[in-house]
Amino acid sequence: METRNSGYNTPFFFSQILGKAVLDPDKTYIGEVFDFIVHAGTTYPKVMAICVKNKREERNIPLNQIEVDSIRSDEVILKEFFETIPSDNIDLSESVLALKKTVYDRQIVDLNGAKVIRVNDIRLLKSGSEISVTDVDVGYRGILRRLGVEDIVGKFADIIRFIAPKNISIYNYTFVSWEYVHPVLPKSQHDAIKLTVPKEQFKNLNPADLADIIEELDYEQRETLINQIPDDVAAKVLSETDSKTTQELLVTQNEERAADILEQMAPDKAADILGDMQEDKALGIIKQMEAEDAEAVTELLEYSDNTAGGLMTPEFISFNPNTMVVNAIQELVKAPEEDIETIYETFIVDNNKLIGTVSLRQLLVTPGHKSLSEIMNKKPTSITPDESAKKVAELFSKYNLLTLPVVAKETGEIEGIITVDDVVEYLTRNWQ
Amino acid sequence: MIKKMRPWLGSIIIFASVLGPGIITGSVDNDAGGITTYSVAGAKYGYHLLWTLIPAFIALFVVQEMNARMGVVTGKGLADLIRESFGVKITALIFVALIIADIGNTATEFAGIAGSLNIFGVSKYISVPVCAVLVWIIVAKGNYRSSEKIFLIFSVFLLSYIVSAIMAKPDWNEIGAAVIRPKLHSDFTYITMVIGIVGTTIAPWMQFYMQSAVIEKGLRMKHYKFILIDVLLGCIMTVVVAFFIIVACGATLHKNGIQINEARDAAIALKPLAGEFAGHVFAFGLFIASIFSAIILPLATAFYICEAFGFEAGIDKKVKEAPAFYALFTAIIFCSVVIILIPNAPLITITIWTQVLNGVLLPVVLICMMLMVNNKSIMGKHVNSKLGNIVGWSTISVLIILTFVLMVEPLISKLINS
Repeated sequence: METRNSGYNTPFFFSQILGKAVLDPDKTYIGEVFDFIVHAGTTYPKVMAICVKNKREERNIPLNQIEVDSIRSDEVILKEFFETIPSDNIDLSESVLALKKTVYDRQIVDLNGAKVIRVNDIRLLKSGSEISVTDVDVGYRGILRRLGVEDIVGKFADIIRFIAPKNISIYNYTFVSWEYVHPVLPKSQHDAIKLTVPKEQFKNLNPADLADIIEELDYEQRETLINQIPDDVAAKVLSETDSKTTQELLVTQNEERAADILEQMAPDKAADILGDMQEDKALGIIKQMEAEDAEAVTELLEYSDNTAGGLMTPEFISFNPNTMVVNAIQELVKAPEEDIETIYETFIVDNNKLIGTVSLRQLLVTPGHKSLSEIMNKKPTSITPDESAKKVAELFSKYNLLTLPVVAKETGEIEGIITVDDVVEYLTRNWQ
Repeated sequence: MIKKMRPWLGSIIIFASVLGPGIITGSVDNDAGGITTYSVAGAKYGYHLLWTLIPAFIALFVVQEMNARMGVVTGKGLADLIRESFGVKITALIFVALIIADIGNTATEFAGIAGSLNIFGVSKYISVPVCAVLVWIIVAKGNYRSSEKIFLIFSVFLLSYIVSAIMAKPDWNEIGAAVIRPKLHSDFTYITMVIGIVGTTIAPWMQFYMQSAVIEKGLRMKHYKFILIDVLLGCIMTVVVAFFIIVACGATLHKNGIQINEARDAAIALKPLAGEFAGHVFAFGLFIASIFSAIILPLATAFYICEAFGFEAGIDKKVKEAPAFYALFTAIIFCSVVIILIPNAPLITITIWTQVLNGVLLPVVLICMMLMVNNKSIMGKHVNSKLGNIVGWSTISVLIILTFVLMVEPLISKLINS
């Protein structure tokens, strides 16, 4: 940014420019300022053009055809005659944003505060012959300015401060830097102008916060946002959103993307979501899933929600009883995070039959050459898949469990495990 | 588990889950102000004003269907949409009027609480503060899902007016004749009554409530036909209750030439004419309706203002997180309680001015609604049909004319008298 002298950079507000008269070089009136077209690709988007509206049309005038200094005065003056400026001079297929249409008065995502906020005004900065967007105003003061009473309230605030020196919160600026602003456009506009590059800060958002944000957005914005984030993030977010929102959003995706997202989820969660869906839709999605994930999910779908089978996941680590501790630890280290629910407990199986469990702690404190059968807990607590979820919760509480293996009634074969987070979720669901 | 069930059973389950917004809004319609208007109308004109319930029903249905559709399509509240389509100034104008009108409306509800409990011998200096605290706690500590169930039960209690009406032993032939061949009067009081009945049935704040309730339930276009039934049931509920209040008062008070100013007068007057029990049932209905609306009104108003201006809102947030929200609904309850508790407060003047403000606000909100519901960039393919527009705009025109008449009427009558 140019900073030749301190008076050179002048901040101003979008609301102060909107509706201003636009004049030809010979000072004849040709319309009013209707919108700013900005280039959204940069941290602080540059204004590319000003949209001028009159009775007949809306036309984008490139900024270099405008006396930029006149923007801060009462009228905006063009360098060339309005009629000579072609109307299709801006390539709208690039990542451009119309401020009034998409940001002003709209809800945006504040990536820093991780919440949805409404934009009351937009602050711009004129430096030399360029104008860029710096922040959005989301505070009371922006509303006062829009109502045309900012100065009057300011004088009152001065008087009050003079009498009793304290902070007048209603007159404080509340800005969110554009760096953290993520405008969520309605789908139609989003498709038209392809603002697809989500910001770097997006990745730092906690999926649970992102889920809250999504629930707060309107229907079109939700769709846009879920289309903007990669499958693995979408999987985490949709595991957190309430079941209605999850269903709605998955239905808006084509079966292939829905399948891709569900593959990234824990199978028990994916099965819960598919179980709430209409049968033909669920089957359509399962068909698109990779064979291994599809099988896991289908198996879980057999069990009702409120049984041990409904809570369990088939993703756990199991070892042969003869495995040495050192090898077991190596396996654990290599295990891909997304395929394994927990490493705190490993399950010792003989021909798929559960014969013991070993905790991470035991693995870490035992000499590496010992075999797992020597240190395993030979009488692990387990449950059969048709037992009730309530029974599961009771066992977790009674034995202070982190995991609980689920075994088939007759064969004693391990079918899956239940982790404590699934139990907590079941319990909170049934409080409400 | 993938569920397989019979299609009709599925329909019933979906309907039960969709049910609510329309019926609740329809019931809130018959708040203390509504009951007062209907009682006064019945006492003064007997069954002659029953016909107004037909146009009121049509207007109500048209407006609420639009609200439901806007909510279902966009997922945005009415306040949100107005802010995004019309900017800060118009939004501020609407909401300043709305907040004043709603303080008046809430005051009317507390007057209803005071009046009805007075019948059971409770002084207003006890009933109003106690109920105000109760209302505040329900609003601040309750949650929407459980309160919705309570509200639905409340709605059923409103049917107690049917009991009152039947105990008044009305002449059904006369009622039928009055509805089919209405006797029109041309005096100002009559016209005021007509406006009052239509106006009290379609209050501006309810449009906001309806739309938010639909979104809160997460309803979508695929539920549309059930939503339509829900809205229809709500509107029927509104006019049925109104009908029986007018009948109850027409059959007793009007026949005996008793004039009243307040709903509680009706309950008192009913006692000697239709028995003590009928009076008590009437008072009980008034109490339920008043407390019901006294809960929803401040909450709803605070919510919409925050929604429009982007303040944090919601009862699941703490006072520190959503100061504007808590300040707003507390202030609305507080102001209205103070108004009621002032000895010799000019309640009738307050009621009239509130109705005038409602009347001015209604066309503004409705015009905004019509413009938005016809905007393709908001509604996509679900914009109004031609028929919807004809009915919508004519409803609005009639309402504007009626409101205009109501506002200039006092001036004209003054001119005539002088």
